[in-house]
Amino acid sequence: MPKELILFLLFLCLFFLGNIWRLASKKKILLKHALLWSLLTILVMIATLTTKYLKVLSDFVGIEEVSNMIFLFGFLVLLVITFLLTTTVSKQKIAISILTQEVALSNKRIEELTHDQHSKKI
Amino acid sequence: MKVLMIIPAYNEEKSILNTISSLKSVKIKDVQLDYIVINDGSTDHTLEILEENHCHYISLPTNLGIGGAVQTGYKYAYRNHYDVAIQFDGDGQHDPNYIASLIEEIKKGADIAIGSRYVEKLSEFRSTFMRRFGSTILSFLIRLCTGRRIYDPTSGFRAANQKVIELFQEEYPMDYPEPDTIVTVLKLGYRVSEIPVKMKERTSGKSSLSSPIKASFYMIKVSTAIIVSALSHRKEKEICQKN
Repeated sequence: MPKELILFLLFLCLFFLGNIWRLASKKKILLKHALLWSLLTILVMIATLTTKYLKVLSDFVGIEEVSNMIFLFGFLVLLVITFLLTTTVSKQKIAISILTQEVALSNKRIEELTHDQHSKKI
Repeated sequence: MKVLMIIPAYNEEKSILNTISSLKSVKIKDVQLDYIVINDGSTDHTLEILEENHCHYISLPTNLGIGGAVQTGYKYAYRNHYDVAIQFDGDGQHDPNYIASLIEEIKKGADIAIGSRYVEKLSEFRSTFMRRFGSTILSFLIRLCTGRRIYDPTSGFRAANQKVIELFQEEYPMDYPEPDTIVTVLKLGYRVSEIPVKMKERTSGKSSLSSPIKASFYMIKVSTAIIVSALSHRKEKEICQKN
């Protein structure tokens, strides 16, 4: 893999890492998500720096260019993250439904209690 | 006996008052019949109409879908110690004359009683070929998974006793819940019975399954839900054991 491409990929990864931790320090993303993205970015960096070993693997699976192997690796990493986000969205949907129901039921209870108090005063 | 009619309503401004007044005219001996409308985040004037007419209602701040709305009703029934909860559509399709028969089934020992369009040919409801075909497939799937034949698995006119109210208030599917819940209760060994009822065409509004694409998606989703429900009902079993 050309040195320029390696440098470019490393620069992108470092820029991305910096951005993740900037957002984490501003509390715009959760620490656990920042850790997950950091871990996966570091894995991509390691893959970029160890092209010699990756060449063996890419030859084994029949991919001619090591750079394509890295892109495939990145694509698989994104699939994993998307799947993890799907589970998070599903959990949040359930949580939001429960919260919505509880808010509505609490409002009803307040209304009933207010009505009872009003009736007693009369 | 305290009975709660759960009426889920999403954009039912034209029919909700008629539905409520039809229920108010129902008198059953030894039964205190209450109703609760669950306004499922309607975007029309349903909420204003309920407020202005001092109806008994719970208003969800956002639209949760039929499952979320009905489950809110079950939660209300559970917390207010109702003996029976009956689901009743807000669009005028269900006939209140059959409420007594549903309660009678529960008194006879059923845990859940379903008002069925297809048990006997009573229904005025003009079912299309596709609707009947879909219902037959779902019936077949339920029979395959549970060994029981349920004639009208998509009927939303059903009564539940306290055991089922407790189960549903904890665990209830959010989308298209009717066939899914039948499998769950049958798998848990609850007694399910069906009684023939007449159903009318909806007085206003549009069915959520009006387009063939939506209907096909519904069939795929519900069939999958039935199979998943048949394979796994661990959480519901824990709730049952707790009871």
